[in-house]
Formats: sequence, structure tokens, C-alpha cells
Amino acid sequence: MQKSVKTRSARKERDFSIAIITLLFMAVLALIHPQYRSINNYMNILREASFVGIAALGMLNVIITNNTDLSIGTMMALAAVIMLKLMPTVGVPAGILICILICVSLSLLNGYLVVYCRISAFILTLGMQYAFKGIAFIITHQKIIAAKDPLFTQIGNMNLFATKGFDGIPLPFVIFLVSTIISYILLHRTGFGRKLFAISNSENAAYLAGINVKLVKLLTYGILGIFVGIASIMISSRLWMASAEMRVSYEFDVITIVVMGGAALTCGKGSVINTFISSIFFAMIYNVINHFNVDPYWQYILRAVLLALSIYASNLRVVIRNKLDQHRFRKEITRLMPESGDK
Amino acid sequence: MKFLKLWEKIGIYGLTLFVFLVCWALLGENFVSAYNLMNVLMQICLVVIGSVGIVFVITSGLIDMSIGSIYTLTSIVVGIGLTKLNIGTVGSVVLALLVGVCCGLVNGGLVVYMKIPPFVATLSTMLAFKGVSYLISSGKDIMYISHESFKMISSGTILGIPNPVWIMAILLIAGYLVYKYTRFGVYVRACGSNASVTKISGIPVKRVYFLCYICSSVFAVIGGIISASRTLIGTSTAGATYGIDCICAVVLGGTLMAGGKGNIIGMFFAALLLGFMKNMLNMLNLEFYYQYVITGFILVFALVMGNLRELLQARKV
Repeated sequence: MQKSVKTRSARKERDFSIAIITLLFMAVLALIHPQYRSINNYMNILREASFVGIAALGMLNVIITNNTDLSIGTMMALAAVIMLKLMPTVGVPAGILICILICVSLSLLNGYLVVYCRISAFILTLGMQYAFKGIAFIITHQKIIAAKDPLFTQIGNMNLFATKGFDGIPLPFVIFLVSTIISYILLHRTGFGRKLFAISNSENAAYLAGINVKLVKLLTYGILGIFVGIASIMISSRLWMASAEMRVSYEFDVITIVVMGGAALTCGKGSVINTFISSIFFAMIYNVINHFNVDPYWQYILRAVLLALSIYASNLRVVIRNKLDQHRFRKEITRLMPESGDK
Repeated sequence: MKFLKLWEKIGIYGLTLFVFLVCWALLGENFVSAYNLMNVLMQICLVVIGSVGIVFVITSGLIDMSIGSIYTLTSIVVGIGLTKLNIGTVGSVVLALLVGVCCGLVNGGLVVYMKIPPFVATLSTMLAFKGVSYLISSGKDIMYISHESFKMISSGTILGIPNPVWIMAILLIAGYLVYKYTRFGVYVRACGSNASVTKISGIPVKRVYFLCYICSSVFAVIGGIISASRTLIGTSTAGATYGIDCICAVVLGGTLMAGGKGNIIGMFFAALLLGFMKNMLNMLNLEFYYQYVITGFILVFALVMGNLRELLQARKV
């Protein structure tokens, strides 16, 4: 007799919008220009995508728990500077380890202040951004530190499985792919991931259900630190150098990628696959800008418009979905009401 | 708890006095000379003017990250007005103020109508305005050294006190009075305490938000005009730390990030403290990037102190 009312929580949500947009974009480009029909250019795009995408994987976890981190750009520069400064004395493996350790500890410091001292994440990490930048300047004295070790510079520049006519798969992309798979398992297949979504939907409910909310939030910052450390290694080895001002507005690009991938900044959603796709989309946009010789100053405006639009789209999606749900709910109720009236 | 109550009342004034004494002890007679103190006042007046607007924005529960870029944009717009359009000093100043109003409207529109979180909205306009200033100047510096009347804005004096200090004093007092005694001030505080209740009470919240953003960008433009008339050059790299300096002064001055409670007098003293620090760094011949570290850590310290009382109360319960 009782018919179930289908609500949103019962449906499994799949969001294909970014994938569709990326495919359309690819198709249009392939029609316009022959360069976008060659696999080698796509390999280039994938390499660029992995530099920002890998940090976006960590940022996704942080944004799901309604926090954020604006200091990752300068944190990355600081870690790279220290790593390249120490590398001649300690060697490559120890240098890489130091880089990741620095990023993790700085990120945990941010996390501690945000989670346990309840400081607004945006403004705190903004302050940290300047502090890190200043420390990096003090270490480098505004100079560039070159990476001399050929073993180290291979990390960002090497290609795997290269054959004639095919440049091969870039090593950064392989690292990015492995990280994506690990993140996917962590976020969508383990208890930790479920805890993250529970916290993002309702922090109080998660707390009452026995989740150690603060510890989980702190852990998301730790994971972000690991990914930023890896990004720092890949970028500095790709560029053969580190400086206090490498990759300006890196954090902005990373947050844009995460938001474009469908993670709303205020309520809990997000998927690793969509973040992966949106980082490729992002790299593609930059590739197009460079290819068609657009004035580089437009990039600032483009970044701003892209972020604002993607947030607006995600807001709009929530509004439309709520309206549809209400409509469906009302229909179901009117359908069920006469039956209950008969009894 | 007693310490924290004391901190909330006189903390920033005591800290400013402490920093003043430390600077005096470190630098001796050079620091307390009338010339140097006036110099510090001249330096902080830009930050103070920008911060007046930011106090209103943060008190109403919003945030404006874009003022640094508006400040930069102003120096370019003034340069274009003076050199390319030839509309004279008054015309250029009016043009810059109009641009400021437009920037405020863009920020307000993004937050109010597109419902983008204030922090992200103004962060993206920060980049956008920077891009606009690069585009309209095509990345080049604009010199306007020969414009004497424009130069007078910062170099002229009234009763022996430089014009910028007068402008700062007038805007500071006006801001204080508006915040304390007018309907707009009450509305701003109400929006910051609880926006939805304020809306239900029939207060035009959207209009208040728009006014706050216009206010903050116009104040940033005034700061930008004064700085432009001092340096007489329009460059797209000016004011890299202007935004964070203003926010740092406001938060350290006792304005709550959560909104609802602002403090304009405290903001002035916090700006004075930052001014002393910068002056000390300059006199010790340290590079500019030491300022980044100090500003960043002072901001973090101010945030921790602002939250400490709430934290301890939460732990007791």
C-alpha cells in the first residue's frame, strides 16, 4: 500500500556537466585548428594539467569540509626554494622528502589554527600567504635558485613510452593519475571519505554521530600538504629553478579547478573524477590562449570570469534542483493523499 | 579571562605604545623627531583611509579583497585622465572616483545578485581589476610629473600640516560619526549581527551591502589618488600589499571578522603600529620583503587574539 516518496538522497547523483563541456570544447578546437588533432599537443596539455591538478585533488578534500587554503601557492614556492637550496648538500631523495615534510607541516599549522583556534580559513591563510612569501624572499634575496641535478630535473621533463611521432606520456601526468586513483579510493570508497561528506552536509550531525570532526578536518589539511609538496617538486623540476614568485596566483587556479569540477564552496559536494577532468579543461583553456596569442593581461580577467561563472553555475544548479525536488515532492504527495483519504 | 577583557579594552593602544617605545629605544632620537613622526603619519594615511571603508564592509559581515587592485587602477586612471584625455586635475579625480563607484557596484552585484560568497567574489574582482589596469595601460608606466596642481594634493600644506593628514583626519572623524550616530551605521551593524533577521525587520539589506562596497572602493580610490599625487607615476605594480595592510589594520584594531562589531579608533592605532614597524624596518635598512613576514604574522596574531575569548568560553562550557 505504502508507496515510497523518491527524494534527492535516494537518487544517486551523477554530474556530467564538466565532462560534456570539455568534450564539446575539444571537438570545436579539433574542427578549428589541426594542432588540436595531434596527440602530442594533448600530451603537453596533460603535463600542464597535472601541475595544478595534483594540488586540486588535495584542495577538493579541504573545500568539501567547508574550509579553504589560499597559502598553497607561496607554500609551494617556499618549499621549492628550501629544497633546491639544500639539494646540493643532502642529495635528491632527501631533498624531496624535506620538501614534502615542509609542506605537510606548514599545512598542518594552517589546519590547526583554522580548526582548533576557529579562525576564518580565508583570512588566516591570506596572512600566511604573505608570511610564506616574505620568508621565501628572505631565503633567496629575490634571486632565482637553479636546479642543477640532472636526476631531479628528469621528474618534470621525462616522457614514458616515447616512439617515433609520439612524444610519450609525461611522467608528471603518470604521477597525477596515480594520485587521482588514490584520492578516488580515499574519498569515494573509504570511511574517511564518507566522514568528509557527512561533515560537509551537517557538522553538528556528524559530531553527534561520533565523528571526530576536528581531527578529520586537520587530516584534510595534512593531505593537501602532501599534494602541494608533490606539485612543488614537479613544478620546480620542470622549470629547472625555484624562486619566491614562481606560479603567481597558483592557489587561485587550483580553487577555480575544484569549483569548476562541481564542488560548491558552501555545501558538500564534489567528485575526484570531475576535478580530474576540470583540471584538463583548465589546462586546455591556457593552451588555447597561448596558441592564439591572446594578450597575457586578459588572463587575469579570464581567471576572474571563469571562477565567478562556475560558482554562479553551481549556485544555479542547486536552486534549480531544489525547485524540481519541491515540484516532484508536491506531485507525489497529491498522488498519495487521496489513497490515505480512502482509509 | 581578566587578561582577555583587559586586552579587548586597551590591548591595541597598549601594544601601539609598546611598539613606539621599542622603536624609540632601538633607533633613538632619529625616531622621535617631529620630522620622522610626521613622516610616519604621512605613510599611514593611505592605509587609514582605505581601512575606514573596510571597517564598514567587515562590520556588515562582508569582506573586500579587491581594494589593493582598485588602488592600483586609480593611479593608472588618473594618469590617463591627466595625460591622454587632458581633463585636468579636477576632471581626473572625478573620473577616478567614478571608476571607484563602478568597481563597488561590480563587487556588490556579484555578491548580492549572483550570490557568490563575498570572499571569492572580491578575490576574483581583485584579479579582474588588476587585469583591467594592465590592459588600459598596456603594461607600461604612465608618468605625469609636470602636473603641478595635481602634485599639490599631497605636497601642499594647510597651517603647516600636510594635506594628506588633513584628508585622513576628516575622513576618519566622518567615518567614526557615520558609524556611531547615523542610521546607516546602525544598519551596517545590524546586517553584520544577523542578516536574515535584519532583512525580516524591513531594513534594505541589499542596499546596505551595495553602499558598503561602494564606500570601500571609493575610500581606496581616495587613497590611490593621494599616493598617485605623491609618486606622480601610474604603474600596474603599485599597491601590492595595500589590501592586506588595510585588512590587517582593521582586524588588529578590534573589528570582528564575523561582523557586527567594528572599531574605527582602534583601527587608527593599529595602522599607527604597522606604520611604526615599517618605519623601523626602513631605518634599519631592511629589504621590503621583511614587511611581508611581519604583516602576515601580525595578521595571524590579531586573528588569534580576536578569537581567544570565544575559544576559552567554548572550552569552559
